[in-house]
Amino acid sequence: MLFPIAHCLLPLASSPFPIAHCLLPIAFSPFPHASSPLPLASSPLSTLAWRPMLDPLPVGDAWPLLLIPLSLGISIAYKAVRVGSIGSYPKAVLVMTTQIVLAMIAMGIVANLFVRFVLPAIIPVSP
Amino acid sequence: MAQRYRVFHSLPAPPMIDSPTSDPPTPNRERFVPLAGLLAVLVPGLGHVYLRELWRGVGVAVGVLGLFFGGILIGGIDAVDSKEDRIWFFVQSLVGPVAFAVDRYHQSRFKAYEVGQRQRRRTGNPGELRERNPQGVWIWKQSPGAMPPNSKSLGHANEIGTLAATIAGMLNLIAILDALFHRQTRVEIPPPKEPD
Repeated sequence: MLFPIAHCLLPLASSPFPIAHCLLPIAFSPFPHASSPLPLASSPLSTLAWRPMLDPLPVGDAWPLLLIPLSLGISIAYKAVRVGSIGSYPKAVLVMTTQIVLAMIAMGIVANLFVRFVLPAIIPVSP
Repeated sequence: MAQRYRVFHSLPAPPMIDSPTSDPPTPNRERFVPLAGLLAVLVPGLGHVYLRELWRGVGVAVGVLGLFFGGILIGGIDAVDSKEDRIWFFVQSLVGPVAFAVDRYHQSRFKAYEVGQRQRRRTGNPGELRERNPQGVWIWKQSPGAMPPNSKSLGHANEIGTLAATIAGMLNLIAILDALFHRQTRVEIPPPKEPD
């Protein structure tokens, strides 16, 4: 709760295939650990019981996809203040959204490599 | 004096990007506009609408309110909670009165006390029903099969929902300052020219 960004990155770091873990679990996953077959809901019943704005969204394992609307909202508000003309606004929003998403994916990959290779070299873990 | 006048007019005029119909080309200086700042605090984007930058105000409103209510959609109304997530709410409150209204609605309509305890209001658990006791205090009563009016937000949904509503507050602070210290023109850095 206190460190939501770190919490979001931890599953990426612990996954050997962070991008696939984030972006490809929709239909099926070739990786047995990656996700459930229904990533947007742990079960159909939980989706039926969901009350918008009252209950948390049953995102399941697809929660990293929420990064995209989050980045889009940030870009819309920030670029509205920043850009000089409305003509360059849509392009600036798209560019910033893409930059944020790619940067987060890159950070996930770096964190993954750090946890999988650098940390075991520093602190050997006995089986 | 005449020399100074000539020097001033020999300077290139600032780019008039936002309001090309303005009569005199004004220098690109900040203006302190308290009313615009106040309006931006009240409703996200309203300060820029007051400054006659409609598209900028709409962009701020869509972005800030979209993030705020998007955060509530993701994390549930529990993503805005001044009692249990106080530090997060400090920043969320920068969205304006709407954040206080949502929190007030959350505290008053969705939380209740445990039976026999008056220390802390909390969200209901599955199997609890929100009822008013004879003293007029809302309490949680055990009722198997009952659903509380909302669910406690946990895990990634809570984290991302709370984060989205908090970032909305941060972005609205930028918009408030931009409306308060307003620049009529904004210079865009042109892309580098390719050599012929």
